[in-house]
Amino acid sequence: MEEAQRLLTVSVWKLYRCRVRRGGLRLHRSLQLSLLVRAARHRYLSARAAAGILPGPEITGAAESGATPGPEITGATIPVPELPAATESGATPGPEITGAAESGAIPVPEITGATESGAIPVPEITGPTESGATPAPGDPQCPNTPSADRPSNRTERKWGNPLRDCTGDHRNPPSGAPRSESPGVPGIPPGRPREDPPSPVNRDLPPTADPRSAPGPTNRDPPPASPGPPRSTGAPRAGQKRRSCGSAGPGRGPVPSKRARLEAEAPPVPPGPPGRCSGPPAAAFGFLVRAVGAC
Amino acid sequence: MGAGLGGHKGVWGAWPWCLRTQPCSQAADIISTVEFNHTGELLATGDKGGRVVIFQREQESKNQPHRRGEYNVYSTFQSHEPEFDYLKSLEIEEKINKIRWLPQQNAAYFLLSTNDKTVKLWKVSERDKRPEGYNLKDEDGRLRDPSMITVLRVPVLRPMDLMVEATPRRVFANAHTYHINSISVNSDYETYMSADDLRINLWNFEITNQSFNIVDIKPANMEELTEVITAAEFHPHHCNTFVYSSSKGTIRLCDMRAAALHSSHFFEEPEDPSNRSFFSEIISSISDVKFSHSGRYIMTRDYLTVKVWDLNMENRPIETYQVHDYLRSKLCSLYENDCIFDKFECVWNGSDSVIMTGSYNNFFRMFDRNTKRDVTLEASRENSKPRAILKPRKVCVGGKRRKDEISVDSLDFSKKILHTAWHPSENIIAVAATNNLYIFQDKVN
Repeated sequence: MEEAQRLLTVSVWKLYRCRVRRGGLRLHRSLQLSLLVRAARHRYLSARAAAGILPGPEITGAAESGATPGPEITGATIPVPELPAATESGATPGPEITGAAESGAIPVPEITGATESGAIPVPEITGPTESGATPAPGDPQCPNTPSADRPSNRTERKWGNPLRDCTGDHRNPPSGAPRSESPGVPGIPPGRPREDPPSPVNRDLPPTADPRSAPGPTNRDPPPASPGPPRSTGAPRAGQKRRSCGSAGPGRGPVPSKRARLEAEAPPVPPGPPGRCSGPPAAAFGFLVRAVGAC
Repeated sequence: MGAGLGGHKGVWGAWPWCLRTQPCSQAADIISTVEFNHTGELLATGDKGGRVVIFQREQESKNQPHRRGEYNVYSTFQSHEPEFDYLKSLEIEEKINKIRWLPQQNAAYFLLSTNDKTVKLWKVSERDKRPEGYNLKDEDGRLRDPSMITVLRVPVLRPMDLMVEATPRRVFANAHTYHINSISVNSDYETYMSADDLRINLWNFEITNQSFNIVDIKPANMEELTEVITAAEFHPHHCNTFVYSSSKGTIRLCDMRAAALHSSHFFEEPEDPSNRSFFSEIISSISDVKFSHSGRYIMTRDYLTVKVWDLNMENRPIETYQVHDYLRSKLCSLYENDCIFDKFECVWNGSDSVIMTGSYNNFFRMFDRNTKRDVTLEASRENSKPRAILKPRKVCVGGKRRKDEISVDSLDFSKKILHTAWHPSENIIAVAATNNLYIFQDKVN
């Protein structure tokens, strides 16, 4: 756990330095750092859960079937266990880390890889993986299976995504870019055969093609809450502030707390060999992560 | 170790040619690429400051037999300048990422140089004559009064001091959203490709405002990105075939012909689960891929190994060479000092019997594929006296260290050899160590 925490600290600072270095964000470097951050974070949380500090989520489905916890692969159907505590608080269902609220631990915000579907592309360790890799012997079994998580994009909007913030403008080609023509050869998809069909040649799409990216690469605005009961428009009551909004539609519902949003994340794939369990308080680390995310 | 590699009963001797001799290395002087041309007559280097320096081998003369074909500076020019992308508020580095020579077809030399965003075609030509005797202007270039011209004369070419001039003939810009990592000239000598992190474009040398996108691995949702392109190269003989490597340690052999659209070959070695760690993904990333001169093999370099693949066998490499396996236990430290992200290159010798790659402490390693012997040599000023013989080095991985060995903890990780080049037909190598260029030759007894 200590090793994982140290790696997390170092990696987050490296990610921050990546953003400010000359020449812009390097996509390859950012990807490598992000993968390591996810792996270290998962190891850290697993170690804390195993040490009894943070009780892990109830994974009834996986426990009964005896399936080895592993990452969720795009398109795979994995039963999602119940998370009553998360739903009661109104937070987006995510890993059950009730101890986090008490100790002040803040999991590392989702930086890359996680999608709304819950897919965690890499690294594949076990289960229906593409690589067929198996967990290293002695690796503590993480009770937090990715299938238990429904990662939200709120964290990504809050902290930004270094992959989307990299030097390329993923929505529009550079101004004055020549017309690129494909001679009919589709973009050769990477990786091993997967359940999803390979993506076609992907030219830069107009902004409207990706509505989620429309707000901007680092949208720190609070996520839109679910629509609540309708309320009448017009002048606010005395003593009440009136929030200006784009439309005079239904008012806002309860907004989940920041901590609940941060906790509602998918853990990364478990890494290799076991690490040592010890380290400084997680609250300080959580502060570091928040500081980097705000840059 | 007296016997050399490559079938020669010789040893490696030093030509103490240093590109720069400043005691402290300037960041702009750090060599970022080295490349021999197709005949080996010219050697081009690019640095982080955007400059290209071309060395030319001297003709061997009977009067000075000891100066057997030494390399001297032939031309120096500023290839790329720092730019600023105002649209994205990003600075574009002038660092030369790659240089590739075109085959010589006339008296001039042509090469491609690229930074992160722009590829340029340069013409390097000599001028040793100048015209004299113009009618309308005098020798200073000033125009003459036409009314004062009474005699008509024919301009003649008179010899002058040799002048080498480099002129940009083509600029291929605005086609890459991400950072260009590779360029490769096709065997048809009419096209070339440029590869960035997510796309590969095919260019015609005559057309600068259009390119064909032949590979695109950018996902529709960037959050699903799992790998990037790290290197790409055309087959040396088949103009329709090229290969590209990825950060996941995979290699794709692609065929651009219409009938072979869906028949790309996928090379990947299964991962050893016992070696898995936090850093497995990082060290498995391929930093360089090279076709053999014969076109039958592919060589790849990741952080710890060099692998040789047969194009006809995809499931595993036919040869694996450990470059510096003693660093496997130091990965955490190497990660903290960013050395784990270093991108080492690898090269074949002319006969594809020996491969070479760099390491730390200014070490570079050669592996003889036939005899399975390997040697570690060091590029340093102290060990590179004129005509000195390079002494093989050895790293002590544990136990009692011998007198001439160096321990792993004593390695200087700031001295790294990332870029090397091998003469296409002779045993002459160029090794770039930070801001110094070393040229060594195999001395035949």
